[in-house]
Amino acid sequence: MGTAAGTEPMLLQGTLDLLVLRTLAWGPRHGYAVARWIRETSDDVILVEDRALYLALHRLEENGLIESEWGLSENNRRARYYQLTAAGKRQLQNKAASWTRYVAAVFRILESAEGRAQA
Amino acid sequence: MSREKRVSGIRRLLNLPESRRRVEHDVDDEIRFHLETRIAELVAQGTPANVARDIASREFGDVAEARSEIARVDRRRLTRERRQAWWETLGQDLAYAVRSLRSRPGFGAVVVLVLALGIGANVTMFGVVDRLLLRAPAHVTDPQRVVSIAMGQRIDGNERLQRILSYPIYRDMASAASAFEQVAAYSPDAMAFGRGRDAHELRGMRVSANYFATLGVRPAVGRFFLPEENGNPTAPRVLVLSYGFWHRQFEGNRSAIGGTLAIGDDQYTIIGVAPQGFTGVTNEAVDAWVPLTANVTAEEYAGWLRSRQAYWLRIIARVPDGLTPERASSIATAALRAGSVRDGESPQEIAALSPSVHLVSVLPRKARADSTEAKVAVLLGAVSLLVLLITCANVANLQLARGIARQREVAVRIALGIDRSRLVRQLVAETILLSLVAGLAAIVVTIWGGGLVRRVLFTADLTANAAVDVRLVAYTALAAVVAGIVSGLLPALQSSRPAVSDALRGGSRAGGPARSRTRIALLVTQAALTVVFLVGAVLFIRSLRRIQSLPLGLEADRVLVVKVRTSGMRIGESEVEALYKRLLDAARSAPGVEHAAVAGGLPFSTLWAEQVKVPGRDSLPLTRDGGPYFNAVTSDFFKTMGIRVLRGRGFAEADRATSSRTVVVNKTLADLWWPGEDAIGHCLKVGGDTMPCAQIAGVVENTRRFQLIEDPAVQFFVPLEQAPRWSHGSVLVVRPRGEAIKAAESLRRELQTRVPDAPFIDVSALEDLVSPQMRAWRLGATAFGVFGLLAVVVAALGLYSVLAYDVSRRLRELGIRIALGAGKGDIGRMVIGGAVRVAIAGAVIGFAIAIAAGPTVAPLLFQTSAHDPTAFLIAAAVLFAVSLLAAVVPTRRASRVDPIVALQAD
Repeated sequence: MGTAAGTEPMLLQGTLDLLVLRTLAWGPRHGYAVARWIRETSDDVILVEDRALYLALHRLEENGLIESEWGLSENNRRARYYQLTAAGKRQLQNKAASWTRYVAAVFRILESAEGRAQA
Repeated sequence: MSREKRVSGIRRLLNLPESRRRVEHDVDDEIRFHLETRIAELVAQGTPANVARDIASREFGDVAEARSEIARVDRRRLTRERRQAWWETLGQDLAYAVRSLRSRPGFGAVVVLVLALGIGANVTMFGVVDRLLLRAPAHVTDPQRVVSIAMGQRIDGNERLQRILSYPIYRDMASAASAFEQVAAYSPDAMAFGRGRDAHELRGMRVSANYFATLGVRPAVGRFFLPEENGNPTAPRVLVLSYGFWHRQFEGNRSAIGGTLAIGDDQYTIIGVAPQGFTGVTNEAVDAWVPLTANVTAEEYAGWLRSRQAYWLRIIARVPDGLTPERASSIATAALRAGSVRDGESPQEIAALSPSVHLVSVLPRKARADSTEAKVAVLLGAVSLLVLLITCANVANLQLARGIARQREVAVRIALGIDRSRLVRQLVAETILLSLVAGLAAIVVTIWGGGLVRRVLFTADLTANAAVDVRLVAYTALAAVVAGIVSGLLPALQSSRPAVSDALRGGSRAGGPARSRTRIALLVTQAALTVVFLVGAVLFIRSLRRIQSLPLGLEADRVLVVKVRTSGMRIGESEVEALYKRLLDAARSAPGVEHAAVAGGLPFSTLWAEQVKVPGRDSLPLTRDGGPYFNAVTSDFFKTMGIRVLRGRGFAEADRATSSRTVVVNKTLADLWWPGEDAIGHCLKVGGDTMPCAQIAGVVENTRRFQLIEDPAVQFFVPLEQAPRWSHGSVLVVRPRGEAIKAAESLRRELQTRVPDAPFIDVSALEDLVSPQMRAWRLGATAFGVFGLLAVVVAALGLYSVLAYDVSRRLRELGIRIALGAGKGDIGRMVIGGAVRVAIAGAVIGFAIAIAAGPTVAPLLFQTSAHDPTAFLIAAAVLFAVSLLAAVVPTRRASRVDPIVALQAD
């Protein structure tokens, strides 16, 4: 399963949003940092075009889940920093919980199916 | 934290929105930052620079597409945020406006007063124009397809339109099935219910059974007529009530349906109620509708069918969807001509008259557009817009003056970084707020005064509905907001760009040349429009005067007209005659009555024509207006009407059926038939050669027949008892002592008591028949007069406030001038000079506008030139007088300046 992943269709719209929100849960960061964090944390399993990531960031901002401000980056350059709004934090909690339940359910089904196939 | 971040924080604090141009720029920056950081990272890991660039851009995806997508999202967000902020800060701005107005309640009150006058005038005129021209007949489905039918005939080379038609023509139209979906007929018929003292008038309307279906109206309660309830004189007697009558008479009780109402001698079953406000295709109020043939005998009905020339019926029709009016009218014209042939008219007659059907839309803007009344109303509507403009100019001026006083406050706000558009909005919010309050006041005034205005100036039927409704309120709100913006925007723009540093230093207290030019221009505009209104007012007043002083040949204001409502009663002609005779006797002996007479016809109402021969003459000349007309009257007719007997005598009691035949002729007849000699003693054969000679006993003054403005025609009078039966009494005229209208109700009660078995007796003033014809001019004179007065008051107020402000602003300068030896006279002349210059400029511009508008107004005037020099002179004189008056107080204040106090101030 692992190597085949990363093609875009596997990543549903809501999933990317959830990942972005989760990334920002530790505090403000700019778009590049968000992209790198997703790539590294998922051990390059989840590969997203950066374009899609930025679009997600701006959509989330439009929907009031995150807000942005211009600041200076580590290497002293002008960068746009994103951070969660109160609504964004609530959304993250709700979506993360239901996502975990969902994944666990999918996982249980796959496990049992594999067990029977082996038997 | 970064400097950038702090700046954006301040921007948010001050509500300064991001600019749209920045959006693209920011997106570019963000993408570039991402790509460059990624490349740097890869290079740091040891990737060659060109490979790193490829990796970074592959990872990113299509940059150009990303840019435009992201920018679109951001722009959308920005727009929404701005809109949100706009509404959020609106509340703040309004609160600010309220605070700032409360600090100067006097200013607010003056502005509200001025705007209330302007908006009130405008709203009242809108109400009138709306009802007269804009609003489609209530409850009529697809009114644009409903037409009223008129017949055109060529008479003396001119096509004349006949709008009231006959029953056979109605049948012709109904037979043109391909031209119309439905054809309906109606005829108003005043009826009475109850008897004697309890008699009441009922505004009845006879309608064909499909009348309501033709208009597409649905009943509010019950049902409308069935086909079998019409066209058959023996059908059951049924009627439909108007909503208003149902509420007045039956308190809106549904149990009234199925009950009966006594009309005349018969009981009518109530079958339904029309929807509220339904009055058919006109505005005339109706109490009840009955079938066309209600209470009509079979003989009478046969008479309708025979009498093609008996015009009494109005016809409406619904044109099918998709059929052009031209096509429909040509089909209908063919049907009309076929009908004429069937009824025995010769092809020559038809060719000569060339009858044709004209379809006139029932939409008021088409049906009434040609009436003088409508034209005057539209003119006044336009004028009332100008009145509103004047008041806006005035308020703008007041605001400008105030803006100068607030210069320092505004400068501080600008220095603190407030957005200019926000500042403008705050300032405009003030005038809009005031204007809305003024709109409320205007509605109150309209409720209280609007009905009165419409009653006095327009046909009574315009008052049938409430004075204020949703449309009027909506219009008022619109007018108020627009007025608020118009009057607030210019001053707001001006005061939002002061020379900040100057104002903060407080050194310069002058408004600056640009600003005072604006104010002078506004003053001159007001003065010019005032002149225009004053000219208009004088022109219309002169027209009205001229038309009122037209010799009518009779004294309309001294005569009461008495009629008995016999419609719906089984009462023969001789009984009616007897009834009028008893009423005549009762009237003669009633207190306060000078003279009374019975007549067959009445000026401005009905008139008969009859053949006449003079022995020895083949033909008798007539005027263009035809004739000869005649009237059958009792002895005191001329005295009652105030018609002067020029030569010979009027009628006497002695002129009876049995005595020798006499006639009285009018001046035109005498001059035309016996030019240069005395007509008295000559013989007239009334009714033709075979009739006996009637000797001319007297010559009387010409009287009007129908119109205030008409050519004289040949007319004569016959003693009632010697006149043919068909022309006998149908009206009683009474001349009370003093003004007639005041005696009307007491005479009605007196007659009703003295003739207790009479049905409802209707007493009205002859004046009421005449005065509607003066309505257009009366309307113009009154409204222009009121608007002119309003404009004068508002302009004077504006001039006063600006001059007074000027003086207070220049106290120091005046102080210096006085200290340097300027006399009181010099100072006074300075202030008055300003007022006079405004008046001169206003008069010149106003004259130019009035002269240019002349051709538009000329057709609405009567025997008055649109360029009447008197009107211009009066307007100029009033303007100068008012300007000087407005300058009095500021001048006195200026010349009393104490130099020491003035120089120490500030």
